[in-house]
Amino acid sequence: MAQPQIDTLATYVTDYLAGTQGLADKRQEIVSFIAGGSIAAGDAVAFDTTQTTTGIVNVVVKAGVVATGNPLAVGVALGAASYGGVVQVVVAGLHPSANVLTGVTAGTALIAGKTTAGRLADIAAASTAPACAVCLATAASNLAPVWVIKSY
Amino acid sequence: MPAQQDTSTLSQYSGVASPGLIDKHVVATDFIAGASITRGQWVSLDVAQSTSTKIINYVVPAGATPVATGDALAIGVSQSTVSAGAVCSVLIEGYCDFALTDDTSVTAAGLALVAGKTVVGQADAIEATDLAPSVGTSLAASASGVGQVWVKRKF
Repeated sequence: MAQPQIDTLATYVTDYLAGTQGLADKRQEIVSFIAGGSIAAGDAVAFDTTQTTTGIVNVVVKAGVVATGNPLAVGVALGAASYGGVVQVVVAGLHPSANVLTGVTAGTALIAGKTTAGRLADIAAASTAPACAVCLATAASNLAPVWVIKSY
Repeated sequence: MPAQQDTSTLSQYSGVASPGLIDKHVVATDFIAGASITRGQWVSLDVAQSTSTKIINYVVPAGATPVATGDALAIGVSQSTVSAGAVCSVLIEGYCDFALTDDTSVTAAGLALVAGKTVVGQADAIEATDLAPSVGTSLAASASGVGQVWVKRKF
């Protein structure tokens, strides 16, 4: 198949941003896991430590509440899933609509499960879990685009 | 292509006078500069852009307005000096010997770094009060505002 003529990379990326080029990704990495419980699109998910050894890293659940941040968080669900179903998880890069505490602002480092299961919230000095994402716009109605920080 | 040196043992390899063959880094060549950027500056996603898709494709010097607790959006080190609107290659992972670092705080190898904390585009040694995740680790003490670092991949 003939490749489109591209004058420069800048032109290409600019065109992509304008919607006239089909650059394939959004600097995302998406991995399929098995849902260990009900998960909504946009939820932060964590390894399910109720599973047996190898199951732990293949089954994810809504990131449970840990006031200092859930250190098992691995990404943000792209779609909803029920127990036993396959859930696609953004483990790196852009998630366009994650479950983020309303009012959190762009540029804020995020931890999972600080106050609500599956929800990302601002990191604090007392947090012990590493940041798993960064907020890209002020969250409204508990939704915001985020940049997921790769953890593996 | 230059001939490969015989590196049958690790000790022999580490003894190579010029370590140029050790290519342990990753560069993303397709970012766009959202502002003027100097080689060696740490860069961050540009949240001043209008959409999330643009935000993740534009970069600006980390801490354009320095963030006291570190710039959480920092993703790597610019490989070149570019003007706003130009393509910017960013070293996003691994070894970098031209990163801007703070001589005062980066005094040794092995210190975790945060970017954009005190000076635009520069990394400082992390402190307990910082909230941004570390962007890398020092591999030597900073000298003349430049250091050897190991960039920690963020995506």
